[in-house]
Amino acid sequence: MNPNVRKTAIILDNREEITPEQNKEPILIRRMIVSGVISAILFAIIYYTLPMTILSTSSLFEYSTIVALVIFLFFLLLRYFGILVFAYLYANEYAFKKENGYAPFVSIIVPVYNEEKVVGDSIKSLLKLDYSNYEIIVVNDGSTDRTKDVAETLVGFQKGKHCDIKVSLINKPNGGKAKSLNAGIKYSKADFVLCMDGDSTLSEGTLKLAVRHFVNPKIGAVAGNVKVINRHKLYTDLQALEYIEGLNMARSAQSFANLVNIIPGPIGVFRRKALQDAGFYASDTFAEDADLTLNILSKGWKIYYEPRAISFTEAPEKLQQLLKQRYRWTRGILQSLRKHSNLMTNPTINFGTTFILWLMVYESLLWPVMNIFSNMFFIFAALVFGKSELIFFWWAGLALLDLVSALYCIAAEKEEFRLVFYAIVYRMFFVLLVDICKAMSSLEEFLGISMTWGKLDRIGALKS
Amino acid sequence: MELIPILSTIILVATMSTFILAIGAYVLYKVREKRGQGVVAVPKPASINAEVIVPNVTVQRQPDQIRNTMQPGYEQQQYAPMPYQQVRQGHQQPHRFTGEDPQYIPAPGAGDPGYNQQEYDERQQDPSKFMKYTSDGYVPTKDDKSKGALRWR
Repeated sequence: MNPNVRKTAIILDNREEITPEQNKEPILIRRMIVSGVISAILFAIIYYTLPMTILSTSSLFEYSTIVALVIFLFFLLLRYFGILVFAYLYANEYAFKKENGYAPFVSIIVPVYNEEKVVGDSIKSLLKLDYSNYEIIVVNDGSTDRTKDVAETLVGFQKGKHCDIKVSLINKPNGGKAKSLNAGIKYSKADFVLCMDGDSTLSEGTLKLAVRHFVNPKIGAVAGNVKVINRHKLYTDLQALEYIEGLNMARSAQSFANLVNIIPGPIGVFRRKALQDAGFYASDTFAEDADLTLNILSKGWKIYYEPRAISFTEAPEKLQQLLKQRYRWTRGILQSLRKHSNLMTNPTINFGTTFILWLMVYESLLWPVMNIFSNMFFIFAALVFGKSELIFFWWAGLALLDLVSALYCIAAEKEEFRLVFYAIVYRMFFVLLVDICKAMSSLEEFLGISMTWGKLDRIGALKS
Repeated sequence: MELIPILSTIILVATMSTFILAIGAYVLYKVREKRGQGVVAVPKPASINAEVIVPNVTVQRQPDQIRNTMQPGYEQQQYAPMPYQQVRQGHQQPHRFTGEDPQYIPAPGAGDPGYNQQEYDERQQDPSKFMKYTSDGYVPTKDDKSKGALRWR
């Protein structure tokens, strides 16, 4: 045994949160019956009222499709320009934020599960942070590989950029990321904690830049900027563009009102008081980060986005891995939304949270369905009516919108210019692919089909 | 040659292929997930045992890690409380000049470029300083009080 380290046995709270109800069989059957009956009633209403209108059965399809497409286009443009305007306003406001030098003690919690390839490099990268007042707590969630051994070699006072940094390790039986983070947070004595993924690395200025916003006592958490590290492959490059254009820009727009709706798992800095108010991480959803964010917002705390607090993370390189990730995200977000359904229907409790929840419903549920149906319509129009040019104009319009948006985002983040060209295939290929996965996942969630956690395979790109 | 029909065909084929690819990959993913499932859920205990591994040197905690809340190069913004003795002296005891802490009491008008020390001294010694200026010139204030309708009490 290493004489420089001291091992202590502890007992961790392992009580389960309320079991998700969607995995119970009677709910599945009840939902199928209820949705079937509602659909039948709607169909009957249309069938009996149609002769009373000027529409014929054949023209009903055309008119309803055109109306649906116009509504879709309206929302699409509203979403794009809304996000662009608010992101621009945020960028203006952010430009005048000064470094105030506020530097309280921070604990960095690193949950790891079978991360032997990357955990060492991940912790070594944390020692290079441009901050003098922090410690690192690694939580090994019952890894079955050599993660424990690798992490144990790093325990001690390690040489940091400004001073020696204390590195501790908690070894616990496997229980999921939420419980690992909770174990680390409860062990820490700091007023601020940074939660991250074991397979991520942080940029040097992350802590210094993120923590300064806590000078404002209303700020309960600060979301960081996630970037894809394993690029130069089709799927990872498309995800890199998606993170910049789809996620970060939306986060900037939300941050203008201090209402960021998801603090990403790879980087989030929290005020301990806000975490206590929110009840720490819960394990009853598959998107613990989204759930915690909504809990913090519902308690009246504000959440800010710090674009220069960067976390580099590995993105799935294979289609199967990508689908696994998106499946979990979609179902997790829907589970979180259901948990906060009382806030959705009652804006008087917290209007900002209600607005954000409906925005999430639109992004995760309505948008994918609308996108799939619009594409199906154009395929149908091309194959049945020979109107193949419609799909071209549809694609050209969207691709142009994506190109402009990608240009702005890449310029704002000083990112790789070559990613702009992926905007051409982004909407028609990548977004459609992800939206189909989202729609299928939503359907499964609606029907209450059980699911399990999926562990993504790591390639160890952080070493490069 | 028309460009739009060619591009339309390419996009149509690409979109249809994406649909097929997405649905196929999703079905395949679900099949693989189903094969992987076989673990029977067991009830979890209310508490679990874990171990904490920390550096052995517990006394040598960096002072900076506890006290300093400002980054290097920035001034501390939190005000430290004054020592008790100093507070008491300031409020409860007359201040005595001990010779250790030099005090500088600026003369009235010090720093004013129009200020002249000689004029100031002359004005201080002027006998008419406390006299009242009337239409008869300077008169002592005592005499002035005895005249007029208004009587001083």
